Amino acid sequence: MTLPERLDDLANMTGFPQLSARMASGTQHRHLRVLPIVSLVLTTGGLITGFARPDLFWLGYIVMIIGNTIAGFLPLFGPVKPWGTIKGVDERDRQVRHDAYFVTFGTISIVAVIGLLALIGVALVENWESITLMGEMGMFILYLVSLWSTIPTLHASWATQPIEDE
Amino acid sequence: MKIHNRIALFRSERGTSRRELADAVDVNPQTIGYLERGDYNPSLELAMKIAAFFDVAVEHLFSFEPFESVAVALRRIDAAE
Repeated sequence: MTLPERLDDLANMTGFPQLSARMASGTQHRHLRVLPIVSLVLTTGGLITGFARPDLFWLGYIVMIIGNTIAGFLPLFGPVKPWGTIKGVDERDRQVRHDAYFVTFGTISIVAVIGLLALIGVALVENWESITLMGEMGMFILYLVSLWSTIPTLHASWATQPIEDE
Repeated sequence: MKIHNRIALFRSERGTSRRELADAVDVNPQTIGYLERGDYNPSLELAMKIAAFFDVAVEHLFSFEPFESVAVALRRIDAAE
């Protein structure tokens, strides 16, 4: 066996070539109904913990990072095919993506307004130091980023029942 | 507005799989499944492509009103005879 063949085998053992092939064909996209909820619960729980108990900021932050990590994988395997994907995307996929991101933009807008008002309010009432406020704002931005991955998958997965294979 | 269709009936009659029809009209097989279940209304282009595949008029495949079932149609024909 030549060196390039050994290197090919090593690459195949990682599973990434197979994943890339499935992504290109669009066959890895499935309804994910539970994972987005788990991600949403973890990120929201982390955010609320950080807001309510600044002394437990790092605990909330770690919980949020776990939720955010799960959210990061949702676009790869969920029913919404990522922006810029051309191969294997038909008119229904574009419609699903349009609807999912329409809901996502609306949700993020509302959450951003409520969150900013809550941040200002809590900071004033609790008399937060600027370093605490900066940490909480960073956490809130991370939360909005996780919503960007979670809500499209959540919406598209619950909008329809999966189609069984023939 | 919901658009009813007879894609599954035509497909069954012709012995065509979802994948074969999907490949012919350039969509994913899942999209054919969603169309048959009534969860997705096709674009005019897709509707015409499917009608062309089965070599029938679009109105034979798609309708705003529910299509008559085969059993009801057979009973009606028997009654007429």
